[in-house]
Amino acid sequence: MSDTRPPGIWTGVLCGLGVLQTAAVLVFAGTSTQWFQAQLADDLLWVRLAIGWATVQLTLLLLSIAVTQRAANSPRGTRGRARTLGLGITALLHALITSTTLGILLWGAYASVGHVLGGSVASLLFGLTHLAYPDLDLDWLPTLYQAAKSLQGISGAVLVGLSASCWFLIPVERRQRFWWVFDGALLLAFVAMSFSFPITPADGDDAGLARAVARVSVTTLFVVRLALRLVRPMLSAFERIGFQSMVAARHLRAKKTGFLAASGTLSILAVAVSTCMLISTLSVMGGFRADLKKKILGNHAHIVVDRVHEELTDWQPVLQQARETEGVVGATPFLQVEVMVSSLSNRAGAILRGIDPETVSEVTDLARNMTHGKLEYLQHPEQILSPLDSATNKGAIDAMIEGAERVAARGLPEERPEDAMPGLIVGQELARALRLVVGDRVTVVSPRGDLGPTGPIPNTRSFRIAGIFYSGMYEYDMKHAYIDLGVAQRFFRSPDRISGIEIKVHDVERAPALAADLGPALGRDDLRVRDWKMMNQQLFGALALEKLAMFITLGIAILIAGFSVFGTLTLLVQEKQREVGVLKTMGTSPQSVIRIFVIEGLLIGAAGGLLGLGLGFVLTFAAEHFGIRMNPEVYYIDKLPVHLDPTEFALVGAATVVVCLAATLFPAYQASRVRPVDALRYD
Amino acid sequence: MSDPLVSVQNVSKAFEHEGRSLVVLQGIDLDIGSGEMVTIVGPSGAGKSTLLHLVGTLDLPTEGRILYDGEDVTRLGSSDLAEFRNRSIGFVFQFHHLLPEFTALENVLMPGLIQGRRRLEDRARQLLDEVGLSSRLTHRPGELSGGEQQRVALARALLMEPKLVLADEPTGNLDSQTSESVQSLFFDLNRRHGTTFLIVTHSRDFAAMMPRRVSMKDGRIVADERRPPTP
Repeated sequence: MSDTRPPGIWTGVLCGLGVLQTAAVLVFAGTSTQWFQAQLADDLLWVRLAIGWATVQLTLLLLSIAVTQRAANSPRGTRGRARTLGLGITALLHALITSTTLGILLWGAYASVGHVLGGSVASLLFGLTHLAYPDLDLDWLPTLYQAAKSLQGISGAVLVGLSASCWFLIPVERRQRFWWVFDGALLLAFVAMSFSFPITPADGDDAGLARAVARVSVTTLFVVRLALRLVRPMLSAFERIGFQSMVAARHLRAKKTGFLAASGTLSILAVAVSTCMLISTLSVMGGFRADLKKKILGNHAHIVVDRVHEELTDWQPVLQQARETEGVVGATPFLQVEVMVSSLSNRAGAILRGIDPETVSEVTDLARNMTHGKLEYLQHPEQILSPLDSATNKGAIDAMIEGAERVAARGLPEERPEDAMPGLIVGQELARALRLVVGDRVTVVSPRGDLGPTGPIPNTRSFRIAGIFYSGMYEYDMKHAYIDLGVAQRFFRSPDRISGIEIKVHDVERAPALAADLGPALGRDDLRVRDWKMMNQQLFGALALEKLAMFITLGIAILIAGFSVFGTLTLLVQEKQREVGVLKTMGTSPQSVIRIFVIEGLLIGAAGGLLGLGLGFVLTFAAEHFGIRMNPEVYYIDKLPVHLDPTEFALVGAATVVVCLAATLFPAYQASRVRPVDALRYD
Repeated sequence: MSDPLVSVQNVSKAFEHEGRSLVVLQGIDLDIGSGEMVTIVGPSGAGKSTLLHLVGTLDLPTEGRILYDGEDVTRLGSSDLAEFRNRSIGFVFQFHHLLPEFTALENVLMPGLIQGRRRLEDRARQLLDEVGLSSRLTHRPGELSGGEQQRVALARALLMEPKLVLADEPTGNLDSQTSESVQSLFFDLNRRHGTTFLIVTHSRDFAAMMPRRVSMKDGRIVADERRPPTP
């Protein structure tokens, strides 16, 4: 305590180097094997890395010896002596452990292939941890390496912790000066990045992504520092509100006993973590919902007009009327029948829709979802096999070289539009299942056939694949196929009849109201008008239920954080018992005492809640803008969908406040029951 | 003295201790007039502090009444009682009991802040000036000496211009020189503001200076002497 000599410059350098070295080890361990595979041939790089690493290790070793010696020589009772001594010894051990770990790797490499440096060895280094080499009898080596790595992790963590605690050995004034410089630099970086770095990187632009990540990181750090700087002035302003807020704010600001300070910090963190967890989860679930909604609305109309179990005749006036209704963007007729599609290799059931290619784009995203071929081919099937058409139409070329017969036949009958096979558009999954490419021929079997002498004969017809679409919903991509409406009406023997009319509206949320108005307006009793919410009721109902369940489950985490607020406040009340007694002798009413402690609990809760919501915002914002890649084969989406909903943020914030309020009530009540006589009697 | 400020009538106080009733005060009758300076003396365990707490409405008597200007305060509810204490009674304790998080000025202002009144700041400054601490306004209790802390406590007790100031061994924790200056401060304030003081003390010197001395023993008043004040 007597000597307040600041830690030496070498201690600082050791801390810095130790932290950097630990970070380097982490980055090294986290770097993908692919990167190493790519660098295998670069022997020079490996030599440089080895030399650099050896230098770092040696410096660390020498520094740690120097620091240990200096700390050991400082007189007993010097502030931070034990800490510096611990730092030196830990750094020494850490340097030895990391060197040994690398040594094990290199030795393993040497024992396996006979030389230590070079690309092939690097591959072995990483191979060793994953593969067993039965013929080399080195099974135990990966285990040894893993053990050394765990040890290295522990010593690294201790080193970083001790380095952080050594920071507090620096005199307050110097630390403050550092923070001023740091904050100034941060402000400059924040302003510079806000103007020059993009916030949403373009797809596949790694440099842009790095800049965006840097900008978000700097912005977050800036906001955190700003908030920390604002805590004092804000508490001072809060004190001026009134007596209760003044006492509450002073209680929170005052130096507390170590246990209470730790408990207070922990409860703020507990509230923050649980809030952050809840809001992130809700955002991801909201993202899934939004994604699903977008896909459903993209593939389906917002409103469908049809007849129950029957087809629609005399539909043109209905279509016209629907188009003229206010709020309607577009309307298109469709005829839908379940069919069997068979290719050369396979067959599958599908929902075949006859559509009007001219108006369908007004209603659904089909035209935009086409990955191969074109929507127009439905009307002009003769163009499908035009080899000049597009490079993506590999199917056309494939079709040409499929067989000499077809090559010979090409250009004779199908060049005339009236003779061409009609076009069919299928989903990506169906195309995959039937092994189809654009230009291939498929046979469609319709259940609606002619009546023959032995009963109904299914009606079959050949189609040529005019295009493939990807909607992002497996069910659509697997089950749906589209043909021209006129072709469908002839094929299904339903002249001039349709299954229904699809309608797109301006505001999807108003679709139910519009649908309710449209029914009577059409003036036909046989028609049924349904909106997208009604049609997908079960799906969205299940999603809403799932979200509610998640809210409750994770809300329990907030509740548990509330327990920790409860504990902290109980401790606080215990510690301030005498003060409460004094306040009561001066005429503070019990209600006023309750209010003081409730305010304190709410301040703790608000701090934790704001921290958690802020953290959650940064996380979800980053996930939304930078994208977390997912395996589309498994999830059928390529990025984790995230949707930030301000209402949900407000709701979670409110839930946190309510929980913290509930947690404060009992301790506050206990405080109000303190009898001044008891509190003052024993000193 | 026709109309006493405080009238303690036949007050008894018993505590439950391990199932047995422990009588601390028995049939106490005491009238204190406005502007009087009264000291209570007696051996430890005589019930002096308990009587002081009862008069200060910090505790309720088992039997009897305590009247302030003819009003029975033992019947008031906790909120009314709190307000009554705030306006009418000031306390000074042996261990000053200042709030450690607040400065000297804020501590003195505290009874006013409880009422939501900030305009008393001038009066608080003036009181601190009177007790000789005008240069210590922004110091926290931890940065003040024992005597200074007690002066702050005295200033705090006087802020709301209470009818009665109760002091429990105000000089019990101070050295003799500091004690004397604090004692003379009591007389000073009594002369200048006409404040009524009820002081429990072990100090013979202090008790000897007081114009009225009530002696207690085993929960009863055994003597009530009045003397002309010593100059």
